[in-house]
Amino acid sequence: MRVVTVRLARAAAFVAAFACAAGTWAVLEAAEERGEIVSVAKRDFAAARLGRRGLDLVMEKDGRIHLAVSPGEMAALAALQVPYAVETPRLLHEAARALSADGGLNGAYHSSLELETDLRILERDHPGLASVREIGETLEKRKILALKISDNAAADESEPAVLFVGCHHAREWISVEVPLLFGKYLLEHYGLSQEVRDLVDASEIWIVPAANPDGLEYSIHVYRYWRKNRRANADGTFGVDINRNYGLAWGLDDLGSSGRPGSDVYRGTAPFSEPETTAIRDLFAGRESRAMISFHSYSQVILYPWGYTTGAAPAGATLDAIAAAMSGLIEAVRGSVYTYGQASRHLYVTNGDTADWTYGLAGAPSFTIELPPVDIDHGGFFNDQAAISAIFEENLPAMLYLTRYAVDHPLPGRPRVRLPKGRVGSSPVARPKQPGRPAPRPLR
Amino acid sequence: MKRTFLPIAFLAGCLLLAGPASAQLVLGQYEDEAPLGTWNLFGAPPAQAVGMGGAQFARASDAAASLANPALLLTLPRLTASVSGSYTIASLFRFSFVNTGVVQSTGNPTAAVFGIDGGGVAVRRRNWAFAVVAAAPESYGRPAIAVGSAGYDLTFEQTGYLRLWHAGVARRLPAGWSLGLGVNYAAGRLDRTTVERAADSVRTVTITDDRHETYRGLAFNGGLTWNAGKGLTAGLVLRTPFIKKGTGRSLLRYEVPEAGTDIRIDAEAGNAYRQPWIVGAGLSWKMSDAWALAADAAWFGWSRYSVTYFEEPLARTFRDIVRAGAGVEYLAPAPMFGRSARIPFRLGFSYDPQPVTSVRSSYLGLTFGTGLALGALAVDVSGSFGQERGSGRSLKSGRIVLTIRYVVQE
Repeated sequence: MRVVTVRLARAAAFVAAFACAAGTWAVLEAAEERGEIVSVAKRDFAAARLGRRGLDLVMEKDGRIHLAVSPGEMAALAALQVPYAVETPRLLHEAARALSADGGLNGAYHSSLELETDLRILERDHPGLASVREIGETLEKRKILALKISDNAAADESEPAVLFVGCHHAREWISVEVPLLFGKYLLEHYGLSQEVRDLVDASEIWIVPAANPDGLEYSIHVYRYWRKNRRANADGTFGVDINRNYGLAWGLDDLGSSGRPGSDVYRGTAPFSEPETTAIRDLFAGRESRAMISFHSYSQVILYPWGYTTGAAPAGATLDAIAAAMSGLIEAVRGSVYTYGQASRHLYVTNGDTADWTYGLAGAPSFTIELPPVDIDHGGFFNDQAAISAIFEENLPAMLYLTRYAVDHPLPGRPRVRLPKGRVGSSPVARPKQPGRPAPRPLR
Repeated sequence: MKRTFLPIAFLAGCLLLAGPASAQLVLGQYEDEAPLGTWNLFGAPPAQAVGMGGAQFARASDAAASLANPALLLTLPRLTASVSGSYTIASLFRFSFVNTGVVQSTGNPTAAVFGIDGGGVAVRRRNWAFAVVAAAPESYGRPAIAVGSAGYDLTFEQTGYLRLWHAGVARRLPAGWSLGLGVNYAAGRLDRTTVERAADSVRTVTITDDRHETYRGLAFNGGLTWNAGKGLTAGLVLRTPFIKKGTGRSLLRYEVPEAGTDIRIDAEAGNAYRQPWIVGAGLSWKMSDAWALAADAAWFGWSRYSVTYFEEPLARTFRDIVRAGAGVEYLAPAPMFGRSARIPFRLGFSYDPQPVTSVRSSYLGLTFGTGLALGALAVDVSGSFGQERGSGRSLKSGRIVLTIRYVVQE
């Protein structure tokens, strides 16, 4: 009984959290001033063609369309003799509960358990459209979960796939929220937006909000700035940077990754030595994957391959054009500027990273998006909880755009990869300043 | 000769039975909520018990016995008042971010706690006995950490304790049996603060992770004692499981004053630690006026241990364990100031497996003690030294306990 109670409470918290995250909270507040949130049965919505009346659509849930209506619109609704239910008090109550129960050490951000709970609720609430898959298991026995969104999610159809993945790096909490909210958005708007419906019907959208759940938990419970996974290395240090563990140009030099286990950019003992990267590899390579975004933070940049070399990728102009388009779409939302460019030139050289590998596999347009803030002065790996929704909303058009691009553009084929000759990981290049915290320090 | 040989043979036999311990440790041994030294704490054994391997289920010297076996209150003098203090030192390897990826130590850091263990009063009247005890059996202190270089520093502090308020009652039953019951109110706190600061000529970034917990719980314990005659006493004890339940408050904060940045995550939520069942049995044998033996074994049901931390369950894969201890006591007559006095000498051992399953570890402990009983006043001091096996880190724990006791005989 207690378990049921806890689950119900979590379900309610989730609904309310979604309401907040997707901007519904603002709508609720506005509705309180101007009118109400009402729900009508989906069939009545269609029959009465309410959509043409310019009503504010909030969400679809449990077969009912939720609308924000003014007092005048409520009168019109009554005149149409459409049965409706006033939802404002219930939603406000649930939202308020979520804000107080939301808490925990990580506030409105998701832990591994909270993430699984919310993914399962999405799956439950959107049967047919959402399917949660366990794509791997971490060293600490946590599940690596993927949310598949498609018009027939339970079946593996030969539709183009797009992958959105977050939290390769444990401390980048915002990178969990953006892909997760994207999944929620797609599911909640499937019945409301023709654009969303078309995309979901034509593709398989795969979302892995937390590629590194072990690291995420360590970041929440022990040390906020933890970056890597939780591999116990042979020398007593911990962690492999899983965004240096992918198989293309892995260990090419010590500039774009490190062979020193204590380093924050330690690449591991072999390509795909980590369960997190094998899970992403098998997910991406096992279908017709046409695009990928790996979310990170911070600095507000959009990066495209190659990262391992400053040489241009074979279809570099296309990647640049897509990145430019995404940057423009993001800026159009509220003016946030995300610069863009080839990873090795625009930020720093990396080898064995996600985007290089996914692009190198079959030429799928692949991007690393470094989410806000723009610099360390404005939070570094911290984002105010209140900014989660805004960061998601400004990235939403770019995610929709890339999904549409993937649906419309078959892959060009495997790009030619030219790796320099020489022993792997043997570059004599002096190691420059690497991102993140320096290696473990001895006790004083 | 025979009476000297038997205690020594008994002790040697126990040591052989204990054998090399397969055991386990590493991070779980020193999760934040782990008591310093060992997970397996029951009651607050006074110096007399500590000196005999911690054996306290069938042999009592003061009111503190009621925390483990209240039935033993009937074996005490008409009035007993006592107070104990201790110095505990333990080495740790993995705790918080130390040796788990952020900060590495070259050796095992140590933490030490000095304080009053507790005190109590026991009264016996005909077939009844009563006791009230206050004790502080658990400490959650950790070595303070401060690392840094120019423009950077990282500090960690953790303190905490659990206190017990206990009332016990015992009733003599026919045929040498006694029954005792106790009620225990537990309350404590745990405070943990991590601060990381990085500064350059332009800015100072400060990250603070500040957590405070308070909790309380109610547990019952009971004991059954059988006096078999010829100095032999057997005891059975149990303590009910209980939940240390309370409130946790946390603040995670990122500050850059120069940029006007102050990002906070404040939280307040319920925490709960489900403490295990404890069931134990003990034997004591007063072989003569000078010699006595005692041995205990206690089962701790750690496999059902669970933690809810800020309303989220934490993974704690623990196993049930049996802790054992035994010891021998010799009372040497030592007349002083024209009065009869006695000096006890105690020796014992303990086998203390830890419940964490990730790496098996256990402590093998050697205990010793002495003191002086002169008239109504007695002073005892005991020490225990534990050496851990299983983690590969050779952790050590040590404890010195001093108990002062005042008794009023019949």
